Amino acid sequence: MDAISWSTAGPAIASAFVASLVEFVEAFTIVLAVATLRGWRPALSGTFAALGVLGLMIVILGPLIGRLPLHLLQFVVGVLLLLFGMGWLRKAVLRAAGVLPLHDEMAAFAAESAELSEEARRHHSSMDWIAGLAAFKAVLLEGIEVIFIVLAVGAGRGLLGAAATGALAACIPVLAVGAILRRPLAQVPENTLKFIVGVMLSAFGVFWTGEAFGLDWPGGDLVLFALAAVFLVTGLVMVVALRRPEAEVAR
Amino acid sequence: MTILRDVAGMLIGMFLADRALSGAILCLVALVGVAIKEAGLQPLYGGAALIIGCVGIIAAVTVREARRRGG
Repeated sequence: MDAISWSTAGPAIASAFVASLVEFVEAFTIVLAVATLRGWRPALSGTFAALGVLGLMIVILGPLIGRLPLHLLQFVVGVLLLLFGMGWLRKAVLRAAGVLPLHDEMAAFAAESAELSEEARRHHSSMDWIAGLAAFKAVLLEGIEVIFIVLAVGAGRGLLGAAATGALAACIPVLAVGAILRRPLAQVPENTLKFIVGVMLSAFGVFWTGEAFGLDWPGGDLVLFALAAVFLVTGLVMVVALRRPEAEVAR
Repeated sequence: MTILRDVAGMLIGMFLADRALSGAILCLVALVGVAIKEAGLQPLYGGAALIIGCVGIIAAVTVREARRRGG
């Protein structure tokens, strides 16, 4: 891969990696809650069933995307990226400034455990079935987000393989650290990662939308870095401007 | 059915979590698109309008949300 193609592939791989890392951590928390309450069998059954559904979605949707006209694909992906990326950036700024509370994996773990126990008590049905379903839903929902991110950052310029590699690479540290610790990955600086992802996806959104309108960006793919810098500076300025005294900005 | 409902809810939430933000982005894209395709605006100026508009939108919606929450 030469220097120019790295300038496009690099941000795509990095965006897919960081965004997927966040999603894998969130899915891992739920699967771990299921495994802690009912053992690994329902947790893994639900996980693999969801991975099967996600695989089916990729097999069905993948070829369809290849048939779409490039400008239409860039426009749809660009607008969806702006909606998704700026949504993440907005929430990350508000959390970093202390306006919204930070996402807490330990709290999510406790809430999921309590919900599973309550579900089993109410329905008097097999706890393993309910637990497996909870793992299935968590992996499916987070997996759909990962698929969208891979499609969004990769589809516009034939970088699906690179983006998918970034997403799969994110799976490795989550599973490795999770297998060793066997507890929620509460130390992951989730809001900082979401901030970075929001910046990168927003930059990709402006880039693809502009290309769909026939804009030949000055500097080519390298303009992605400038666009990302604009969103990064804007986000940081907003954090400083809105910061409240007890904000946990460093996380 | 619960799973389908949850998936639909998550997909809507992914893109339309904040109505003001989503509405503003869609309006901006529509305006820039019309200006380039119908009014003959140079695409480069359209790109500049897109980035300036996005910066303005993100600033406005975060300030609005912070004020709404008592900031």
